[in-house]
Amino acid sequence: MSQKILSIKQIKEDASRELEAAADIDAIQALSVRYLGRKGFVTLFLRNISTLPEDQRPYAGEKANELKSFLKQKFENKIEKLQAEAADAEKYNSIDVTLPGRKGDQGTLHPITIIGNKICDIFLRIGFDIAEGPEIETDYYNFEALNIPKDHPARDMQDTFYTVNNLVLRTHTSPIQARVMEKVKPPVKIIAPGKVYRCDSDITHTPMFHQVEGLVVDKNISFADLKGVLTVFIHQIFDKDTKMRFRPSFFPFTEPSAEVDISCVICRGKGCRICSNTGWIEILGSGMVHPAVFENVGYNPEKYTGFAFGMGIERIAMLKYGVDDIRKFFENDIRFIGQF
Amino acid sequence: MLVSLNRLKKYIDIIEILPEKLADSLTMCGLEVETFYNPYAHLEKIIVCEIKNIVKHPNADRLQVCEVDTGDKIVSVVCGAPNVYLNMRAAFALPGAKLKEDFVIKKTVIRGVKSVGMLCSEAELGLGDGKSGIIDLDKNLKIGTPLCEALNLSDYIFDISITPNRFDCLSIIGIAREIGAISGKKVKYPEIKFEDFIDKKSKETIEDITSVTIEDKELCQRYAAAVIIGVKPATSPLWLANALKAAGLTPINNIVDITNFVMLETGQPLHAFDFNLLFENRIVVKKVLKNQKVITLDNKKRILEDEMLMICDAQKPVAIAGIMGGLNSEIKDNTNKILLESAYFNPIPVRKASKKLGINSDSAYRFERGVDPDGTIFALKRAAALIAEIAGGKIVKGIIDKNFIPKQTNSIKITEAQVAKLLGVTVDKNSIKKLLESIEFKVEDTKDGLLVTPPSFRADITRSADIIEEIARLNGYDKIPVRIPVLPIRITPYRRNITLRNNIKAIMKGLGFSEVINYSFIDTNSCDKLQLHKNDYRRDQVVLLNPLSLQQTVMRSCLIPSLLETASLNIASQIKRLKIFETGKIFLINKNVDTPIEIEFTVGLWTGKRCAGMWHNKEEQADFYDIKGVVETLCQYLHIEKVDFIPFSAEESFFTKKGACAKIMAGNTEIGIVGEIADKTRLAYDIKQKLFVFEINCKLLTEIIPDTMTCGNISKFPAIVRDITVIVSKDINAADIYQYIISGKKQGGFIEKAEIFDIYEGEQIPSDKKSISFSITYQASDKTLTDEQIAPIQQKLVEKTLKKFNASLPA
Repeated sequence: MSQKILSIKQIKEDASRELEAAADIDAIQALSVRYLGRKGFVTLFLRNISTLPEDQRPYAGEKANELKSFLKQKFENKIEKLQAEAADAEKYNSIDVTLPGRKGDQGTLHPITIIGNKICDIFLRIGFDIAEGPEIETDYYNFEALNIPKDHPARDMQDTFYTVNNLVLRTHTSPIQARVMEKVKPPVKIIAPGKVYRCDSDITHTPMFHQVEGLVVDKNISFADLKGVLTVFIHQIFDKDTKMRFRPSFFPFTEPSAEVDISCVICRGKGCRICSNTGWIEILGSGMVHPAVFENVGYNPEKYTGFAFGMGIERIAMLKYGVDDIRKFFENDIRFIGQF
Repeated sequence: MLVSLNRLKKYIDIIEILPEKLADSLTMCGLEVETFYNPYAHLEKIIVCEIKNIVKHPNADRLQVCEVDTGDKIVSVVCGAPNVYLNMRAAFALPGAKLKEDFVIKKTVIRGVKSVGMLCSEAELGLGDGKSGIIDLDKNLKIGTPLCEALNLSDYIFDISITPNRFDCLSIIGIAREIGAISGKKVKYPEIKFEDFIDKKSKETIEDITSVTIEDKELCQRYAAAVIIGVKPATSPLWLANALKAAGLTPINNIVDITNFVMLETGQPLHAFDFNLLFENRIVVKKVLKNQKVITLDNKKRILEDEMLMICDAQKPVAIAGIMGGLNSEIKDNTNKILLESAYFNPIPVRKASKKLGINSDSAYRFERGVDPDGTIFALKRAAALIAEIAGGKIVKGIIDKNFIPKQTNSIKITEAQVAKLLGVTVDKNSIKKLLESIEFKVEDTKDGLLVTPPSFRADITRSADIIEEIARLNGYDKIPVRIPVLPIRITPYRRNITLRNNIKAIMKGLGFSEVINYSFIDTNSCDKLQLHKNDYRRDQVVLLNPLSLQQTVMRSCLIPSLLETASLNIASQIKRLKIFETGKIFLINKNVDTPIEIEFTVGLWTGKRCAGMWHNKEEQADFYDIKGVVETLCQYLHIEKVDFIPFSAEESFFTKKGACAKIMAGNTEIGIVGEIADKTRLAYDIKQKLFVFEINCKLLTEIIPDTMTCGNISKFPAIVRDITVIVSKDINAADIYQYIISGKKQGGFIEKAEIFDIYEGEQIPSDKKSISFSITYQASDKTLTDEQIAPIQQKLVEKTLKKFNASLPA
């Protein structure tokens, strides 16, 4: 408040001299505040005009405003000039931002883990529980409990690895169904992911692969529910435009049984090499739990019904990632694995 | 099963149907058509031609040059067959004709003479044996007509995958029945002219000249036979040979071919014996003694076993029941009297025997799955009549039909409500009736539901669910609505092991490791490569009885070999820097119980440079402390409080390098190991660079990881940092000094944390010593510490540490 009111001439001289001396943008901005700010010299001068004789006021006002826009312009010009100089200088001082950054190592999950998790996640979201079981199984759980008696041609459907004590490497994740039902009373709704083994090796078969099994048992579960749950699943794991068909088939542990085909995700049903020109791709097996399986685990087949389904994780991963040879999943070439 | 559309048309009226449509309908009713194809596709560019002129090849004795009229022009073609003659109508392959996958006809020059196309034999066209040279066609055929059109060669072969339950569809009639159900047409069963060919003049009946004795009535539940006298074995007529070829069978002679033809037609396997080669001209069905031998029709000596059922004559086995005939009673050119067998053998023994003997015959395939016990006589009479018709001869009066006990009809009750409950769609009673009757089920309407009796060829139908499946598939699965079930919420236990596995994978990924998945089976020599002690528990491996290869003979008892294999393969493809991990089970024989032990492990491997080769990185190689750091970080993320690394004794180190390996202890539990791979092990895997691994037992970890954690208080007051450097003997572990210093924290001192910030070994200090520098942070939770407060504490700590570890301060 006690700041001295300087004359216009004085202000102009001071400002010009100080501006000349100002070396950087910060200094000019400070000058701007000093002269044009709320308590700056020009502002004070303008505020003080009312104390001047009345006849001098218009002239003083006009001159002060002229000074104000003059200084404003001067400051701006100098800032622009400094900015341009700085830009020129930076051209030589700057780092090469196009060099790659210091990245951390990029770890990856195996594609089978990724797809397996995706599948499980969908079912967990609709209220399923996860169950697991041993990979070396008894003949009973792998076959007999599932209505596949000894010396039955249905055993030919799965080439089995045998080991000591009449044990087998499980040929499917279905034994988990029986193990769970023996322990838990309905309602049951589980999925069971895991490794399975079959004595087979070519471009579409590896002796070890991964399956996800599903099982729902309660009163009044019907084939319509099976279609509902699997439709939700297929639409989630692929997309809503994926067409599906349920086709009669045979599994010893389900009756009726259905294979589920989806419209080929490669050609969208037009026909290509992947779908053998049929437009359809077999994606999972399913069916209503066979009453004999219920009897084996001590469920009353008159009271309960249920459905089961099983799918190969590799198959879905191959379709989703465009992998043409199943063996690539287990060759563990880091150039392949590291892409996911 | 391969089925020709032309053959099918003889049994069901499907003249108008498109092959695509038929394939789709069959697939959608449960008979999956895997593929269908035109068997004459290779004849596309073959036409009828006329030979206009024949001259000797100027440069080859055995060749001729023919001028051939192809309808629109005359071309010259070189031909070696001697049977060409002037004005012969022959089959001519135009350039571009693809007779086989790797045999495409081209314009060419043969010994200096141009040859545009090829005159073809039956064999080259795949239409016959071709013994008679270039195919000699009918003179009335129009020149230039495509051969397929001229010879009316048009067909589709359907490759149908028949599920094990549908043995009734292992026959053309079975498939025709299914098409009948789809299309509403009736199956035309073949007319049997058995009576027409009976030798009515002779008084002799079959019982007069032969007999069938069944000693094992359980294994052979029906045996029927007919005898035909005066047959003339010969090559089958073309239609018969073609019918077999269309189904993928090789024609042999008219009699054998008819037995196969009737098998394809009805599903009932048949066998013809040379009657005169049967000792005492009779049949005995019985199990034989072990080690008896028989030479089967495929000319292989088979050693029989106790439980196997044999067809014998009065003296010796003449066939393995239901599997394959014996060479000793085979139909030969001079056979004139045959005994024809049509039987029902118990499926299980047939399957056991065929598996044991390793014979996959069409007959065994059908008997294993089950044939229609009521269809035995139909097939016998059909085949006998066809043999008499085609191979000549007369049927001896009567047939033998032994041990047939008609099965009790298995009637099953079902209700509309049951159907609706299982399928979620209502099918009314009349529709159910209609659907089931279309596949020859008998349906009786009773007051409490429908009483359904399946036909004898549907032994797979045993309970109401089976019937409901038939209703569902015939009605169409697409008619079942899509419904989202309302399922009760159920609180299920928290799966610690699954959560832990997912956490470990996420952490390892975050630490820059890539997940690999290896086969669970490995080479038996992996334990030797790991230098495991001969009594090591990991040598109790689970052995596979039928491995696919020598490299996959045992279940892995340790995951490290798999990682080393993976590393070896990648290094061989010049990927020298690797950070990989795997989570999976190990399998160990359990001495006390039958089932093996399965334990989940996580293993990690780091080899090559510490950092990826980038412009800003030094070329430093990863070492023990890199992999140890990974383990420490992993444990920290998992909130495992106290993790210690205890050096191995030399005897325990096995596959890890002595002195560069440690046990990972979580409290008092050894949860795994970490270390450098021993040179011997590394070289066993053909790896020339250093590798660092860790192995953690996830099962133990599951029990250790805390469910919750409590966060600590962070002091608001400033900390004071002081350094201590001590020179100690090289054999003192840094961790011991660290533990000693940090123990002050627990004893209520102001020590907040301690860090090792430098290690020095070298010229400045004696060669048996090392210097270790600690940076110690002092902090109080309730006040600002001053230098004056800390100085005596630090002084005391230094003194105590020097004394404890016999250490000195740097000069």
